[in-house]
Amino acid sequence: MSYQGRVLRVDLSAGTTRTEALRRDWADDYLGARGLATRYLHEHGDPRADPLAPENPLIFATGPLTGTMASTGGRFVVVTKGALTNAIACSNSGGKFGAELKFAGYDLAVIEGRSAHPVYLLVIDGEARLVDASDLWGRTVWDTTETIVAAHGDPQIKVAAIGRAGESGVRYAAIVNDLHRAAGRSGVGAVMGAKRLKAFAARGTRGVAVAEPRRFMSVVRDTHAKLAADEGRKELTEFGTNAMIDSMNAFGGLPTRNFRDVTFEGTERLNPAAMSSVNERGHVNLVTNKACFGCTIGCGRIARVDPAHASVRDRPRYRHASGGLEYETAFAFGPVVGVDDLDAATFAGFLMNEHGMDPISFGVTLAAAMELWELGLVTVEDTGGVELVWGNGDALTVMAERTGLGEGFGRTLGLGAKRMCEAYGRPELAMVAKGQEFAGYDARALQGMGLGYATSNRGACHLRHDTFAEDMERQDGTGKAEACVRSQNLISMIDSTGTCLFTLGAWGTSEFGEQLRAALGERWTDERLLEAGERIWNLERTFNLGAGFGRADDTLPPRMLEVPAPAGTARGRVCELESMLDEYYALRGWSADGVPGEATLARLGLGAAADAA
Amino acid sequence: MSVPDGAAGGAGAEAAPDEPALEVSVRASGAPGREVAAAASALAAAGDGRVVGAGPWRCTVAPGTTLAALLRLLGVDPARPMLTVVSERRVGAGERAATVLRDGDAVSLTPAIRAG
Repeated sequence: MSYQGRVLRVDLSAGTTRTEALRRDWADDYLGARGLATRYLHEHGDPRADPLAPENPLIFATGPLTGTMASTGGRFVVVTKGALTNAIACSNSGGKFGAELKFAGYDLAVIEGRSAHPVYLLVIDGEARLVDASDLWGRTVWDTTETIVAAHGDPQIKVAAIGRAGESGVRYAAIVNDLHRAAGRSGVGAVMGAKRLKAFAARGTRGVAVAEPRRFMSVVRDTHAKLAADEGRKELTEFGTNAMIDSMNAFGGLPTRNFRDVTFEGTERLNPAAMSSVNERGHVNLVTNKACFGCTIGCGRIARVDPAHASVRDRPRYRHASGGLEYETAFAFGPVVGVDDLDAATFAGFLMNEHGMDPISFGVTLAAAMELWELGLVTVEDTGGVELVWGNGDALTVMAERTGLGEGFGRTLGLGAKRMCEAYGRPELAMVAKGQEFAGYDARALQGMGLGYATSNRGACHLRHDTFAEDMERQDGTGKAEACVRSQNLISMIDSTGTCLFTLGAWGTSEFGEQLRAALGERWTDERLLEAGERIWNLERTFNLGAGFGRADDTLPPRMLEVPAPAGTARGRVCELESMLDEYYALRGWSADGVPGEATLARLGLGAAADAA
Repeated sequence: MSVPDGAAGGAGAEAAPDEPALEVSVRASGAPGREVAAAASALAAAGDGRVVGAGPWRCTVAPGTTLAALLRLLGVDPARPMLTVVSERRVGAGERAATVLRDGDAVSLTPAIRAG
């Protein structure tokens, strides 16, 4: 129950598709989505493989609550070995595609090989086929989506596609679904492009059955009510995640100018109030908020670029409303590059969606390029005349477009901060962990965030753990390891349900447990759910160890470890990573080198997995 | 210095002749920002000049005023879940009643969401 019981297997090299039964024994240990896809990757992938090679599987997966009436039950994940990091990648997205894939009759799609020519994958009510996409290659996400929907005459078809960035191997290329939602991180779009898979389109009319429908509806009513009453939820609905920009600026944790500064003077031109204000030409950026499938939060923003703004003045294509600034895009197109131009930032966000790129990685990579420019290492000869000075909104949008199109200096930016800074001989300027760019939180002001960045299996990420409360409460490393381990396990479980992390706060383990027990049966006790989360985290770690990662990779750049925060509540502090990391490994039952111990693996039933890696 | 919340020197108190009033600046966003804006408008309409501006606000308060008392003046429940920072120092919800403001303090009230 709550699973469709079917896995789509696609061999792009042979041009074939087939359906096989879901491994229920794996579902019993890994729940769904992130966990189950990781188990399938472990079975079908090789941690040592080149992520862009045909043998690297690309796995789309839904969770047991995807497509149900559980609030936010529209999530899906893409799991593979990341093109940006060479580590395990698990990129999570909302919108409507995930629910549609489930309605089409599949829990997962495991895609292997490489097509001889561009194709897209079409699944409709249990039938799957590959369709020639030669005419779509080279086209944007938006054009591709529109063309596929029109070709099949069904406006309900949902499309997840790559743009030019995924085709050309931008290391942080994203898979964009529903036009402006994205499995954005770690380069899953580059893996898709390397397979010559342009898009994945789904349409389904099958329902999702749950074990106890009446009980499920009752539980869902209660969890909806808890979410409705939650103060954090209210802020998200009204102001969006970008409400964080003022909080982080006040706290002194807002990464600015490639993380040199921790406060930004221009937040009031980028924050939710600015988005809702009438500008001097009578334009309002924010159009409305938007929810993903089944979501009762609606944190998404829909915005419009001022048609008189230089970036779109002569380009009517971009005058429609589309995905607007959320906190991470506001940070990535704002403080970290020193830009306070709301319209330039909004337009850059449009370009990310149109060409299929991760805004966090792009913004932080551009910030590193701006610092290289300041040092005289990147010049106008490199950039084709564009001045990469802090705060240059034109440089932001021009470089976003060139990166998406694979042109000029955009090809360098498409490498990501780590590879680019290494190429310029200044690797320490890349604000990355395991090769993935930091999100919008400074690791000196938020110590738990620093530990979370360093230990995240997919590379630096703010969504693999939740230590906000502890980081706000005290600013040294005390207690952060325990909070990090606990929340990593919890979130691994949440990411495996098919619901959204933004329910956290209103919901704890028991709320997820109540919904899952009504949907799946009594075996999913709260304890078992958290154990599944821990199992998932350890299996991901095992994959990374097999890929060559170890303690030396659980680290942060010198700027976080050696240069004191210049302002804010953490003025004078550095990230106390090493002491937190020792405690973290001990709590996880890992060796001092970061290798899961035999007892830990045996307790989680992972002994064979470790042997295979 | 720490005084009981709402005791002499609270936000509404008159400054003694030998104790000049303090001026603090307040930035607020999200739901706290909306509440402060409403309170400031109401005070202005009533001819009360203690809160001036349209965000950031400039507040004139008596010596000894606590953060909690200022929050009440600004129409914000001192127990409200939010991030409060006073001149680069985070002030937890349990400390608001005991935190005495100083002249020139920069007070920030922002949402307590933990997502992004």
